[in-house]
Amino acid sequence: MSSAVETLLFSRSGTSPVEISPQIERVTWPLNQTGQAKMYMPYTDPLCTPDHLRLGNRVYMRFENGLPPFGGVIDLPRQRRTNGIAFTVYTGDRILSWRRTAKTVSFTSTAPGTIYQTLIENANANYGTGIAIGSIYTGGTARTETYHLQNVLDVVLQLQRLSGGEFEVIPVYQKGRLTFLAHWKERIGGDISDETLLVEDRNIEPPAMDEQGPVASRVLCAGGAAGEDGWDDRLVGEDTSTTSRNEYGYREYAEVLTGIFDQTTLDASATSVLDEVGAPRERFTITALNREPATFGDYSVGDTVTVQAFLEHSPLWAVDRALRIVGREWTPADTCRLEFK
Amino acid sequence: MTTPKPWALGNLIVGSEWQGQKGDMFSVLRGARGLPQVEALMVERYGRFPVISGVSRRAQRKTLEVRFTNASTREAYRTLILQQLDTDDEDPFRLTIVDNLLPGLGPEDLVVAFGPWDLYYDGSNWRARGLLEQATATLAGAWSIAPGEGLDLDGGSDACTLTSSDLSGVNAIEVIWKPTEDNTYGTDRYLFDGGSIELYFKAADDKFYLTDGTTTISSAAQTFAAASLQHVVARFSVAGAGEMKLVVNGTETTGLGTVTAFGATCYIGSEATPSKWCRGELVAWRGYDDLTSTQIAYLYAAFSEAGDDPIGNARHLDVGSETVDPLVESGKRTLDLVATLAVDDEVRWRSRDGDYWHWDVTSSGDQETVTVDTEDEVYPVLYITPKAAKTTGLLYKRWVPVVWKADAAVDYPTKLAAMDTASLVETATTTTLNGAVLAGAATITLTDASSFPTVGMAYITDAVNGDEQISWTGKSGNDLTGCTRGIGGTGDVNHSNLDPIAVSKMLANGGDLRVYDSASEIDRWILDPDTATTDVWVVVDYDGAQSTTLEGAMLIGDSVSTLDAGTDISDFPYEGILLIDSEAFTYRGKNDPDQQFLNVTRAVKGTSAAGHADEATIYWIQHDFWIFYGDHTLSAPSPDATVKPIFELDTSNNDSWVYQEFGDSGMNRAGRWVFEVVLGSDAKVLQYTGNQGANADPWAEPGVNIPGDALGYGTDAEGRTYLYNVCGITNANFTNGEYRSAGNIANNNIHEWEIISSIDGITWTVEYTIADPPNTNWQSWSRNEALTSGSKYVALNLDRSSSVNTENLYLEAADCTLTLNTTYTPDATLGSEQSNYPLDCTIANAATGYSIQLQATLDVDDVLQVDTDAKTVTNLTEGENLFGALTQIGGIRRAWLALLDGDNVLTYTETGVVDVDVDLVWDRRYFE
Repeated sequence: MSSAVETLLFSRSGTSPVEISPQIERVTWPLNQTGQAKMYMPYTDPLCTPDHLRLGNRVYMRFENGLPPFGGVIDLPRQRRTNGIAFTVYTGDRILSWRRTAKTVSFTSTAPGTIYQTLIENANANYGTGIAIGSIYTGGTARTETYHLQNVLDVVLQLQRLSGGEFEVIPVYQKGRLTFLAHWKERIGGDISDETLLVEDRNIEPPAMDEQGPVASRVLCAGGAAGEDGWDDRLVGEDTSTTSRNEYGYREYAEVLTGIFDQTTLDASATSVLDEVGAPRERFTITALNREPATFGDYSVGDTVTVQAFLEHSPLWAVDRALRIVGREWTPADTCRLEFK
Repeated sequence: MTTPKPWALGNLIVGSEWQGQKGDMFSVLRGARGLPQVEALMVERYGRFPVISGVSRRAQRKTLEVRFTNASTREAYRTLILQQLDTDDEDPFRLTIVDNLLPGLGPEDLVVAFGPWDLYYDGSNWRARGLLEQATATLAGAWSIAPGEGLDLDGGSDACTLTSSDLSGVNAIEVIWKPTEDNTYGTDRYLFDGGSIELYFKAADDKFYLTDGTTTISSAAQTFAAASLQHVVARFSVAGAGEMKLVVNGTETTGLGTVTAFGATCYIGSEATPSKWCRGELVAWRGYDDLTSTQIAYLYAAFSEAGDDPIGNARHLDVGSETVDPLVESGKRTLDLVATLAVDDEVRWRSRDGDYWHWDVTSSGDQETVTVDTEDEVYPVLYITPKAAKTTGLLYKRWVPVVWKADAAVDYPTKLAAMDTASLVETATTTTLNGAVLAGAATITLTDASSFPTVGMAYITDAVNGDEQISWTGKSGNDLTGCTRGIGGTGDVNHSNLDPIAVSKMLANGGDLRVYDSASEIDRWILDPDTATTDVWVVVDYDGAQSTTLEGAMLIGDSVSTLDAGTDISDFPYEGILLIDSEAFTYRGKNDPDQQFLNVTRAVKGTSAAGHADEATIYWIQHDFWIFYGDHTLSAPSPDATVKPIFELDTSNNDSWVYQEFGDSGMNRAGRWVFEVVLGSDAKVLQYTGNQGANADPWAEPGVNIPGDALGYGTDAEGRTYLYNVCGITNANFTNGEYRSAGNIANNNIHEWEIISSIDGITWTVEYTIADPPNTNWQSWSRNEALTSGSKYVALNLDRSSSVNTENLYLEAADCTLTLNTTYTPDATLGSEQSNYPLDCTIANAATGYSIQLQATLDVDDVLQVDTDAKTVTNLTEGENLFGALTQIGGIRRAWLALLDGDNVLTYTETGVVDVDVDLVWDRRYFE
C-alpha cells in the first residue's frame, strides 16, 4: 500500500489552505534545478475549479514515508483534457523565472551568495515573490558580473554552475501560510556514506548506469567583448587537470561567458566547469525502496551515500563506493528513482 | 427534476436501473459480486442525482462504473460536473443501502425519516439530518444519543423540532419508541406534537392517543416494560379527509379524521411547550405521504423481524465521479457512456447514523474513554466549544479591517490604529490601597477587591513614589496574593495608604500588545503606549485590490448564505473576508459566472449585522488583522528593525508619511527612498546620505552629487533619489533643503536642481526647479509642491548638461512630508474590544498514540469543527477556514485522529482551560 501524502493548495499569496486529492504522477527533487510535481484532477472534483488551479497558486505536499516536503507554484504547461486538468507544480525557484534583472545590474568582487541574495531582494522590491532569504553562504570566489534584463532563474543557474555554490528554494508551511525560503550553500547535504547504504536487491532494485561526456582536462572560459564579434579585448580564464589528462587523455573544452569582464571571475568559472567536465558523468538510475538499511527519510538530495551495485553481475564493473545523490523522483508506487553523480 | 428511484444492489455494489425518459439518464451501477443480497436506495442530498462527490483521502483508489444510456456526453457531463461545481453542497453525496427495506415502499413514499440519527452542528444548533436529506430537525436542550441508539429526550428544555414545511405531504407517522420507564409511569409521554395533531401515551389509562384537533382515537390499554420497543403508527388527514388510524404494535384502531394542518413548529418526542417528553429513546421517527393498512402491517413485520436492530443496517459509501467515457462493448464503441466512480482510499461502507459522544473538559489533562463499535477505525468530526474564558493568555482582542484600494504592494507600512491604551492600563474598575504597601510585598490589601478578578493585573497611581503595575495570581477577600511587582516597565516601589489602584487589561509598556495576521503573529511597532493615541504600525504585502458592488439591498435581519455581486468577481480569491459598510462577511467558494459569493456568514469578526443599500461597495479584506492584549506574563517582543518603516511613525499616518530619515544601508526598511543614476556612470553621479555631502546611516538626507571636472569626469550626468508609493502621491513638502554648486556657475552649462514626479517611473515631470545658486556656498531651499495628478513617484533630481565641466553639484533636503492619494491609501478601522479565547490544546488518543494540536483565536461559544475525515478545520460560528490551526503531532498520516474499535482514552491538554465542550460524531466503518 502506498504511504499517505497530504496535498495542500494555497492562494497565490500562500493563504487559505485546502486539502486537495489529485492523482499524482510523480514528484521530483533535483539538485540545483527546479523540481516538479505532476498532477491530475478530474473535472468532477469540487476543487477542480479555475480559482483553485489558478497559475501561481501554491501547493504543499507532505509525505508519511519520510520524504521531505515538496512545495511550489502551479505554472504552465497546464493541459485541459476530456475528463480533467493535468497540471504541474514547480518548486519555488520557478517564480524567479518569471522575473528579469534590472536593465543594468552590476556586481563587483561580490560573493556568489550575495549576488543570489541581491537578485531575489531586487525581485521582491519590485513585486513580492513570496521567497524570503534564508541561509546564505558568502564564501567562494568573489565574482564581477553584469546582467541586463536577464531571466533571474537563468542567472541563478549559471551562477551556481560557474561558482560551484549550490542553491535551493524550500517551502515553509506555518500556521496556514505557505512561503518559500531561498538558501545558498557551499554544498547541500552531507557525507553520510558511513551510515547510509543502498544495496542492490535490498533497498534498491537492479540499477542502470550511463557514463556521459564531454570530458576535458583543459577548460577555457572567454569573457564578454565590447563588440558582438570582437575577440581582441576578450579576457580568457583557464584551468587544467593533470588527473583528468592522465586518466582520459588531453582534451579541451571552451565556453564563452558574455557579461563577464573580470579575469578572476573567468578563472574561477573555468575551475568550476573543469570540475564538471574533468571526468565522465556517471548517471545512475536507481529505483529505491523505502526499506532498511536506509529508508527514504535517511537521506536527501545532495547527500553522499554508499551504493553497492552490480556486485553479483561483474566484479570488474561493480560499484561499491560513495556517490552523491543529485536527484530524486517519487511515484505513487512509493518508489524513488535516484540519480547519482 | 428527476425523482431518485431504488437501485438494486447485489453485494458490494451491483447495478440497477435509472429509468428515464427522453434526455434523462439511464444508468447502471456495476461492481463486484458475491456478497449477500441487499436492497439499495440511491440517496442524494438536496434531491439531485447522481450521488457522486469528491472525497477526502487518497492513496488507494478503487473504481466503480456507472453507465448512462440514452444520454449525450454533454448531458452526462452537465449532470456530473455541474453538481460537483455547486460548492454550496459541502457534504458529500452518498450511496446508501439498508438491509430491511420494505416491499412496496420506496423513497418516494417516505417524506422524512430519522433513525438512524445523522447528527451535525451547523454553527448555531445541533441538527439531525433526515435519511433522505429532505429535512433536518433542530435539537435543543440536554438531549443525548448513545452510539448506535435513538434520540433520548428526557426533560428540561429537550426538544427536537421540524417546521410544517418539512412535513409537507405527510399524512402518516411511524414511531419506534424505547421508553425509559414501564407503562405505570405517572406522567403523559409525547411522541409528537404537531399543532392540532398529537400522538402521546396517557398515564391515566395507559393508552396511546391520536388526535387531529377534532377527532381523538385511542388504543387499548398497554402494558410494557421499561426499555421495551414500542411500534406506533398514526395516520391522519392533512392532504384530505379520511380515515384516522392508530396502530400500536400491529393492533389497529380507526376513526373518521378531519382535515387539519401542522403547526408552524412541530415537536418530535415532546409537547410544544415541553413539560412532557417521551422519556426514552426515539429509535426511529418517520413521516410518510400515506400508509395503507397493508403497508403498516409490512412496517410492523419489519420491526418485529429486526428485533434489536429496528433501524436496519443502513450504510453508505462516498464515491467520486472521475471520468465519463464512451462504452465499448465487444470491441465496438456504443452510444452509451460509462462514468468511472472513484472511491478514494479504502472501500469501507459507513454507518448511516453518526455516533455521537459528548465530553465536558474542565481541566487540563482531562481524560475521556470513548467507546466505538466499528469494524475498521473511524474518523470523527470534533466540535470544540469553549464555554468559559481562560484566566491566562491574551484575553482581549480587536479586529482591524484594512481596506486596500491600490495595486499590489510589497512591504507596505500600514498604521492599524491610534488606540486608547491609557484606558486599558487603568480601566474604570478601581479602588484604593488599604494600608501602605512595601516594595516587594507579595500580598496587597485593597479597600474593596470585590470587582477585581481572581487573577489579573492592576495599576497603582502614586504621585509620591511613582506609579507601578502589578499582577497577582489569587484573591482572598480584599487581599491580592501572589503579586508580581513592577511589571509593564514600571518600578517596584513603596506605596501609601489609599493610593488609587485600577484593574489593567494591558501592560503599561504595551509589551503584551500583539498583532496577528490570521493565525500568525507579525512584527508591530507601537508608539506612545499608555496614552490615548497609541500608534500601531505593521509592514505587510498586499495583492491588488478587489472590490465589487452589492446586487440588491440587504436588510439587517436578512438571513444570508450567498452574496450577489454587481460586477465580475473572478479575481477574488476562492475564499476570504468581505466588508460592506462596517459589517464583515466570510465566504467559502464563489460562482464566477453568476457573480455570487457562496457559503457566506455575516456579522463576523465581532462586527454587527446592518442594512446595506443596493450597489453598496463590497471590499475584499486581504489581511485578517487582530490586535491582542491582556497577558501580563508576556515581555515586549523585538520586531525586526531591519524592516521597520523608515519614516517618522509618531507623526505619520496612512495618508501622510513624514520623513526625517530616508533609507539605510540595509536597503530593507519599508517606505525607503531609492538612489538612481539616470545618466552617466556610477562615478559621475554619486549618492550621499548626510548633511552637505557627508554620509550617514540611516540616511539623514536623500543627497545627489555630480562631481565637477576637477575629478576628471565627463560632461552630461543626471541622478535622483526617489520614492515610489503605489497609492499615489499628491503633494511633497520638502523643508530644510540645501543645494550647492561648488564651482563656477557662470559658464554656459545647464544644471537643474529639481523636484520631479512620475506616474509610471519612466516619464518624469518637472514640478519645481530651484533657482541657480548665487555663489558657490551652500544655499537653503524648501518647497511645498502639489504633484501632477496620478503621480506615484517623487524625486529630488540633479541634472547637468554641460560643455565645460567645472561644477561640483549637490542637492539635498533634511525633511519631507508626503501627502498620499487618499483615494487609494488603505483605510484601517479599529474594531471594538472582544473577549478572546486563545485556544491552544492537544488532544491525544492513547489507543493509537496519535495526537493533534489546535491553536486558534476564538470567542467563548465559538464552535471549532475539526473534521478528521474530510480534513478541514472550520470556525463554524465565523464560517472561516482555520486549516492552519491544526498540527499533526508525529508527522502526517492517513488519519488525523482515528478512533479504534473498543475503548479510546482521549486526553485534552490546555493550560488555563476552565470549560470546553468536545463533541464527537463519527460514522462506523465496515469492510462489507
